[in-house]
Amino acid sequence: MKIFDANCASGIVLVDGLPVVGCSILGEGIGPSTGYLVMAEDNLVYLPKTTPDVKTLIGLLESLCDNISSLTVNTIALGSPTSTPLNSAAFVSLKAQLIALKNTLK
Amino acid sequence: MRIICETGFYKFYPNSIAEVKRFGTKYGIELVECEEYFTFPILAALPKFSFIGHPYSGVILGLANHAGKREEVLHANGLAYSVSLNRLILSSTLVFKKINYDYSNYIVMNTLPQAYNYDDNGLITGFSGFVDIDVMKYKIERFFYQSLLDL
Repeated sequence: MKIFDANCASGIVLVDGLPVVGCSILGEGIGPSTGYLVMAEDNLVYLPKTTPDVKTLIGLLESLCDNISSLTVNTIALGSPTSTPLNSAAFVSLKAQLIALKNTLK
Repeated sequence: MRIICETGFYKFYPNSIAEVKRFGTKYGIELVECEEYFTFPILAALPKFSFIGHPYSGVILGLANHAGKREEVLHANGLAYSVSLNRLILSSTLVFKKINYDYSNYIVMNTLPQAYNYDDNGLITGFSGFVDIDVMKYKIERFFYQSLLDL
């Protein structure tokens, strides 16, 4: 069995810049990715690294937390019309947890 | 010095390094160390994998996706070492030549048998035997055969 550094774009797996024919992709294979090609006798499988996708997802969630925690609320009740939500601290905490998760991805 | 040929891949097992030198001097054939055996430089340089359409050996492009031993990858690509040409060629181009020999205790030959030639028993993919360097004879104990349909 051999393992090669590989990358994939538009469903085409490349090793050393050359396309690999007859390779299964363990994933969607739609977006560009880097990963590893495992070759055992005449069987091939490409394993994309999934952590970049997870990091991106966490980054989006962080932005979401930022947006929610800084959201201004139009209100005629107590407080200023531009006051932040009372529970904004919860989103700040959530964001801190997401950052911690992103920095310790397995 | 013992010789084993598997699907066109030749392996030499000397009793001492001196045998390799004597073999080289007498036959003018260079052998190089490769793993636990000696072989021709072109075979020792082969990678243990190949991809379809990727460079495999020199200008030869791979015909198969395969990882394994050098001889397995060589076979998967339909190639064999040509004794007379000292290079790799398609094994299917070797099948038209018949090997002629006399048989006693051993099959005794003056030249190294070419894998993928044939004899009266069928297509020869390899053999086991040894070279008697003193008398410059190849003594073959047995040939290995394969169906033409499996090529």
